[in-house]
Amino acid sequence: MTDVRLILHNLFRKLVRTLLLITATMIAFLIYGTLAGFDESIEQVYSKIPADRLITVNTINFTQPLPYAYVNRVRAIEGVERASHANWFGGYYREERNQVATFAVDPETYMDVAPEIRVDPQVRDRFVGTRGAMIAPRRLAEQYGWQVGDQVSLFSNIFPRENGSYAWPFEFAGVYDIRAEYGEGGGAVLIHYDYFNEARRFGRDDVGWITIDAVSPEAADRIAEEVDALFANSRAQTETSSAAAFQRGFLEQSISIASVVTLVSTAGFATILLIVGNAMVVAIRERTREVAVLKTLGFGGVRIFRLILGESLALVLIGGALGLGLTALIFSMLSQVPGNPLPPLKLYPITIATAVGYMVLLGIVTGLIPAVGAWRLKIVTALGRE
Amino acid sequence: MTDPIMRLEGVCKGYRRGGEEIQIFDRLTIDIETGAFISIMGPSGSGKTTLLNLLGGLDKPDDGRIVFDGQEIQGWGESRLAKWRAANVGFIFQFYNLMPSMSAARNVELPLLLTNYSAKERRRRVATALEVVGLSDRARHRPRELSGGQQQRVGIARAIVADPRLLLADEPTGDLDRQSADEILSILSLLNRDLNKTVVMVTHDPQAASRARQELHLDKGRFTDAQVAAQ
Ligand SMILES: Nc1ncnc2c1ncn2[C@@H]1O[C@H](COP(=O)(O)OP(=O)(O)O)[C@@H](O)[C@H]1O
Ligand SMILES: [Mg+2]
Repeated sequence: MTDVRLILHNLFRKLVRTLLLITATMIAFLIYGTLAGFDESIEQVYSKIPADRLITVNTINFTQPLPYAYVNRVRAIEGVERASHANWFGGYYREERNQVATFAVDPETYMDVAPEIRVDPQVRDRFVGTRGAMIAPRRLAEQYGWQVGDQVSLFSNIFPRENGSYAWPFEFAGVYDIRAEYGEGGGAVLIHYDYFNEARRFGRDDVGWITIDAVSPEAADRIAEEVDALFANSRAQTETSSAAAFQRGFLEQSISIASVVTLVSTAGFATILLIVGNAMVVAIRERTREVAVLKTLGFGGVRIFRLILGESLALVLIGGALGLGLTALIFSMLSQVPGNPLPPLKLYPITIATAVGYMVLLGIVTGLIPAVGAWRLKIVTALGRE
Repeated sequence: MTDPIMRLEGVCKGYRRGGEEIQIFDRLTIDIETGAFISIMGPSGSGKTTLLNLLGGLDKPDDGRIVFDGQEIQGWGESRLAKWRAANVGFIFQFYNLMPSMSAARNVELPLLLTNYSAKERRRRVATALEVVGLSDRARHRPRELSGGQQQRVGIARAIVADPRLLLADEPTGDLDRQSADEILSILSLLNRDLNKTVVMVTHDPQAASRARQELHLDKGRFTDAQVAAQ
């Protein structure tokens, strides 16, 4: 207890310097908390994707289509419980800036492979039973004021109808909800594949991707290989991967989050190491005489070592805790922004534990040089410098 | 006479400076009787501080024995010596060496942080020590808010708070005016007389030296006084 008092006393005796150091540490851990927390939050969403779910796309890339016939051939593979398919429609509402993610799907099966969707059975039946129907995430429907039974025209960025028009009329069949753990912002408008396929001018009988549910996670690996082998000599070759891996790959197309976390955090921590490390060396050098006096009074080398290491640890822990606290605040504010497209951002225990680990490491490393110096300090030489 | 609280026996001490060996003490022997108040005078560089450092276990002899209360301490390790100092030796410095960021009371409390006393007991002992040096009303002052004489009194309070038997003072009045110096010397006399502390005080000032009960003179690493030379 008295050591804690001594440590805090020494830490805050140069208030401005200490506050600056704490702020620097806080910023480093704010950056770390935000990036690592973001990464972990996404990871948490991926981890909810069942391990027995696969995605098959064109091997060129996922924007290239696959023949519709593949769907039934996939369904025939042993161990495939169900398969569904979807197309990217590329929609907007009224004006091009109102982009509306829209999938043309097999209405009977799609919702069984979309775990994030929670839909009222009545709405589902109305959607399945009406060829020109569309359903939308609740947030989107509220934003545009769509009511059940409304005629809603969506424009496609890609597909004209046979008559050349890019405007596609739909009947609004209701809303669905997105389960909280998948985040507020996701979700697409769903329309019927058949309705879309028959009316489009080009691309007939192509699907964008196929989602497969295997009977078990063990079967999934084998099925993935079998699917790709099945079409290895066809015009359109396939690449089948687990849905989780596909999602991750999709997100990491532009940036690899994990490597950004590593890069930026390393830079931040290295800076802290230099700034705090240097400040600690200077602070303890200024106190050489005091250390010698403490030793004269009977403070042992180990105790002094501990006091100094405690000081750098306290500094980094205070700054780091503030940084994580600020991260949590930002995450909770972000989650209240309506329609944000991110998964629910949270500081998970693993992120906090890792951050605290880095704090302890940084605290020890920054304090080590002066602490060892003070431990070894010879009283006679230090006091001799009168 | 009672047993000596400390005894140096055949102590040799030298320093190597730039390849050249300078011998400060060559087989120095001296007894410090329990309850003594000794002043040590001598020219600069005669080895006064080195002697105090050896007595206080801050420095080690090259040869010879240093005996405290029947125990040889010259071979002890750093941490054992630190514990021994905390319990048995109080240091008083010429330039006070107080912690500038701490109040007088916190400075005085420092040696008690090495004990198992409760916070309450520590407060009580700090109050007593400050009372002995007549600074009860300055407990919350920082060193820079105190005069030199007052700072030295805080230094003395710190030296006695853990109730050590031996006080080592290196030119405790060297930086003070006459009046403040006299106050400090009166306190040291009181500690020696009434609280039975053994005091070894190095000083340049003959007037200060005369306040001790025994005056010794050190020159070129040797005591020139007959009674020590006889030992
Ligand atoms: N750490 C040291 N290294 C080298 N020489 C030293 C050291 N400490 C003391 N000396 C030398 O030893 C001699 C005695 O020093 P000291 O005991 O401080 O004398 P005094 O206190 O009587 O002035 C001086 O010549 C001094 O320069
Ligand atoms: Mg000296």
